[in-house]
Amino acid sequence: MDLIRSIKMQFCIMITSISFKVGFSIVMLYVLVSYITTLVLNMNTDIAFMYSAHDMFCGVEYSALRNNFEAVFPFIVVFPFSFSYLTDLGVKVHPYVIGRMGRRNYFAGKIITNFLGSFIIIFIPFCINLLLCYVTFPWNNNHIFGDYNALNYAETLLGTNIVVNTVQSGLPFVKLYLFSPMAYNFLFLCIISLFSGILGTVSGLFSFYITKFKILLFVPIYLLFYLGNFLTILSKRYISFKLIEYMYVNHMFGKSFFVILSFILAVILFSVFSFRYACKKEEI
Amino acid sequence: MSNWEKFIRIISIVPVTFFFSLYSLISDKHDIAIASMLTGKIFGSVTDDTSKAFVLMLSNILYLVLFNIFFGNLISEDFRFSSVYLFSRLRNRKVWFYKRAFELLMISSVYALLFLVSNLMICTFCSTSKIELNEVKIFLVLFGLITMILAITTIIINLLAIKFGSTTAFIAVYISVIMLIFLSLKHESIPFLGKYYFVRLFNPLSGIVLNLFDNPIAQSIVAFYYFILMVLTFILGGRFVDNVDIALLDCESI
Repeated sequence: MDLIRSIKMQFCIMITSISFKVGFSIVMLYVLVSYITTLVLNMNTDIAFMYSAHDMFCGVEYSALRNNFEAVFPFIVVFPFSFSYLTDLGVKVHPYVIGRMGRRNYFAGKIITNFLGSFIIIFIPFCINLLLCYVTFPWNNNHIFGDYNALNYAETLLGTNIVVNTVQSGLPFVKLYLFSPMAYNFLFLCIISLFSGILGTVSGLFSFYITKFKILLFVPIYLLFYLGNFLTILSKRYISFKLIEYMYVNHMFGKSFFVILSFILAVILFSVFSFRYACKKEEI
Repeated sequence: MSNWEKFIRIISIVPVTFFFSLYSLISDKHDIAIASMLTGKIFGSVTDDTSKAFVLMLSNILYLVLFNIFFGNLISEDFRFSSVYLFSRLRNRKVWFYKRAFELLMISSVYALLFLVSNLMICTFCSTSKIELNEVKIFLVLFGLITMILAITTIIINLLAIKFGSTTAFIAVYISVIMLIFLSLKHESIPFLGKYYFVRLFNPLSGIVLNLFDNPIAQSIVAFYYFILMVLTFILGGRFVDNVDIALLDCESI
């Protein structure tokens, strides 16, 4: 019960904080600008030649301004609530809060709220973009994966056109895509939001260690992304370590589920370790 | 920030640069001029029928991001946490700001030097050619440009951080950098301005090494433009710092 109260309290603090508002506004601005750019680019295009609404969504690899968002993403996920522990330390409020709800509930509440904050700032704006795209653009079969029902379409979906020695090729969850591209987009929307939530949690966990300069909290997640790009080049049999590639709708090859699984496992272990460390640190 | 902390943050770029160049170090040597290799490691190029411009690559701005993060609160932390103590003893805030901004400029020059020397060593190791006069020239031009970029962006972050906090300031400057890079990549598609090639010079992250190899006039214009930007940052920053109400910003008493 105390844990729920802790989450409730910290969630209320989060949604009224400037950093959450800044993060949310940036993502909202991105999805709206992306939508408007797509709209402008498709002006005067015959509806028969226009790409389908499924491919205009900003969670798809080739959507407008995606590269720019990818560059900002490692910093955006840190914004919602990761600085909260440092703020609590700065205003010296944490002894009172911990005294009321207990160390475990306080830190568990922080971790969960961190996850929720980073999840929300991606989920809601991307949902709005998805809706806008489906309202505005045609639901035809002009897909980015090739001409519908032609050979190149099947090759791209199944990954039979890949000549690289790789662990995986073709579209992941291809059956769902064939059943409903809209459901497929929504699945990836949930995946990128969950991923954002996890990254927010990780940066929040780092705040238990980096207690002096707030701005340094940007470094771990950025380095994690940078390291991912680096490992992609180093591996012999092609495995993509570029985590963001797993979160978008695309037909990139080399996606190994072991990469994601190990990442999640590492985060869980790090969470448990950091939670215990933080609780011990605040022991009276 | 203590001198020891500053030192650690400055030299951190050396292991980072070597670590992220491991792939180049273990692969075969190439028959490419060191100058081209060095430029290619730091910048991407945009070419059209008649011209070639170099722009910062989004995927390779780690050195800029790290510097901005490490020194993004060098000036602003004094403002937020010791302003009453500090400014009640100082006669002139502007002079204090100029000194601090100059210190940041010096730090950025050392940082840029270490970054470029590390990259030059990597390029020398990976290339079959040797260092010649052209390489030295390119090195000096890159050193000046990178120092200016690092110093200007970080001073702006510090100034914004006084008002909005270091995190918001950093993200605002970082998004501006990304937007400027995006604009430079899409320069030809910009209505009206896209026709004029030299307008790119006014984008501080695009015209930076315009015609680096064969156009001394363009180089001089770029150097002068950066000098003007630097002076403007100093003057406007000094005025801003002079007018800030420290009673509203100080977090010392909390």
